[in-house]
Amino acid sequence: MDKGYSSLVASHAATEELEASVQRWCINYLAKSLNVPGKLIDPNAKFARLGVDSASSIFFLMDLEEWLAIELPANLVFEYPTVAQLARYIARHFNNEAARGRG
Amino acid sequence: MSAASDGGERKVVNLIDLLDHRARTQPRDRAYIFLPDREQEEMALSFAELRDQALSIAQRLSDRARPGDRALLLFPAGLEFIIAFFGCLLSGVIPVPMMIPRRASARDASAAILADCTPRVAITDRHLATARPDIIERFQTAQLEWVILDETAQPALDVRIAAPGPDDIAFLQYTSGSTSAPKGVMVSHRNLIENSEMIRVALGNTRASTFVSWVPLYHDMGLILNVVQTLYLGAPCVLMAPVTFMQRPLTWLRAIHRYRAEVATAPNFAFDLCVLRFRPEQMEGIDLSSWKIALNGAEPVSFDTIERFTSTFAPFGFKASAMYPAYGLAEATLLASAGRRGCDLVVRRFSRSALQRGRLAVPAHPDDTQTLVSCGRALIGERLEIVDAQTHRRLAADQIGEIWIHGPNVTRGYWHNPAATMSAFQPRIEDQADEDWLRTGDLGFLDSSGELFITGRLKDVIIIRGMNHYPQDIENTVQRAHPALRRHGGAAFAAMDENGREKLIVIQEVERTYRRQVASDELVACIREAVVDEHEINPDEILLLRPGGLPMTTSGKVQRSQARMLWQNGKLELLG
Repeated sequence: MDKGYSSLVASHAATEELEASVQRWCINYLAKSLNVPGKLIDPNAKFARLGVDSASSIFFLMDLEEWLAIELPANLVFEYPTVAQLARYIARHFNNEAARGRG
Repeated sequence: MSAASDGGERKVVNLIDLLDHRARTQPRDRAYIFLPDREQEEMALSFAELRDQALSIAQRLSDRARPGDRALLLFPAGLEFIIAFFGCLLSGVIPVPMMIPRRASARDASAAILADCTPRVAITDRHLATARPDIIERFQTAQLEWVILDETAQPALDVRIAAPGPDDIAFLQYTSGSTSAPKGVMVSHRNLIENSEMIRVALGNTRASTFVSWVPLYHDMGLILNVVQTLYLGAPCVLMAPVTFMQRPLTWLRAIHRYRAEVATAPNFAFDLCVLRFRPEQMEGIDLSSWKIALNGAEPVSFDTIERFTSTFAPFGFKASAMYPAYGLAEATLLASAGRRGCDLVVRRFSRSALQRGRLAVPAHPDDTQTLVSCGRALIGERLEIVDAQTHRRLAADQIGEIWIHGPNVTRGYWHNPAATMSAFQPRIEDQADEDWLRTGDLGFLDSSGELFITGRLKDVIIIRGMNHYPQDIENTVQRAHPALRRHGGAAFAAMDENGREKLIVIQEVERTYRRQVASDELVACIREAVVDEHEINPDEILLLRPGGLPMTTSGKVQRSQARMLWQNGKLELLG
């Protein structure tokens, strides 16, 4: 388990930093589960193009939930169909949540 | 304990009698329980409630359809499918369970299924009708009458209940055939009652055999092995959505614990998934010792999967003897061979390279070992034979050939498809009595004590996660993905990995004119995207060939088995 994320949240990290961290995690995860070098995972390629089918997208989301320790909507991978879009969504969503928590 | 013997004054010959029998003798017993996601409050249906609600559907159907008309069943996971299914049977309408088409897929089998069985009615629930207007739109040309189930069902007043003969069609099962030419297996009432009895005897089920299942109900394993079997037994059946299982596989095991279930069935991949997603903290306090039958079927059974599942869950009370590999197919209603409750696995080791050539031999060295698990024996009242697929001669024990079946579970054939019916359902074994046999298209052998081992497949179907895919559908998708990909110049086929799991291999020729223009990586990515989008599976290997690199018949048809052989031996001429 990557400790980086919780410390990022604790320090109210900038959205960009959070986004980069989520993106890195996704690329590492997909490289491992699809058995390809990380440099071949284009953050702007559609998940389908990388080989993420419906079953593996469920597992991907479940592991992302586990890492982030939050629940994510099940249709996220369809609505944000690339690593870059997904990471951007999550980072924004989180900073909003954190802001709400602070307020 | 069967429906036929437990106090019934007459023999049950169809599903309508069966439902009536249960509703009279166990009106308040819980028949079906549905667990919504995240294990919230359960929903339950007693046998009498099922009959009453099914009657109400039957009444609504009787205004819209005549006996013998077809009705599509389009339901999300839940109890409504079951009510609609029995509603159809009560009114004599033939139900046709169908997977809900995905939004994205324009080219799935649904249009061809509609064209094949020409349904008059489609039944769905309020939720789906509201959430997915695209489905109603998509089927508009078929001029279906939609029947929407809702909670405010009116009690049935005067329903004319069908009285089907044993050989009348109970329902159509569309799991065979490609997207463009689907085949609807005609399952009769007799088939269902006979196979239910075969299943009861083989699994050793009783009224106390609670079931827990997440397998979709449009899949024959979900419907016949769970919903129909428990009605036959008078036992409770606990259901959950497939997506609940996929997201949190251990929910399935927790439900088995919670309901003290005896029987839970799934395709091989589900057992792998439980191991993959195993989290000790999520298994705290879970006791799986009630689980007597962990039936593994609907795709090839892997010894490696069985071993890993058993060792992972033994500390939680799972017994190795509960592992229950089985073999079946829709053309034989469902179950065709199985072990006996509480018996140990029958496992044999062979040379993998010899098996690939269709022969049995002792492994030449440890790396050449393939472990095969028996799928049990012929069921009560059924015969299995291994037959040479070319000569139709019967083969002796320990010889690999096509598996043929004769018995009361063999169905009537394919809906409105006499040619396919004749070739699959009416062949004769050489020098044998005038009997029709079912050719399964699967390869295997029987050992000297009658244990059936599956070794491969003659038919071109590819089975991934328990779902059938047809190579011609995948090849079409591939060839539409990019203009550089040659029409009729590709092959998709299944291969076994070293653990006995099925892999999808795609090979495709590239047009000469494009060879220098497009990068190979780009073409592979296009193919992958198209196959994932259209078929929801990720090819394990995608290989590009120069034009003419693929073995063809003289008439220009791709030879898939030849292509597989070249692939296996590393002899394909790949694009540099």
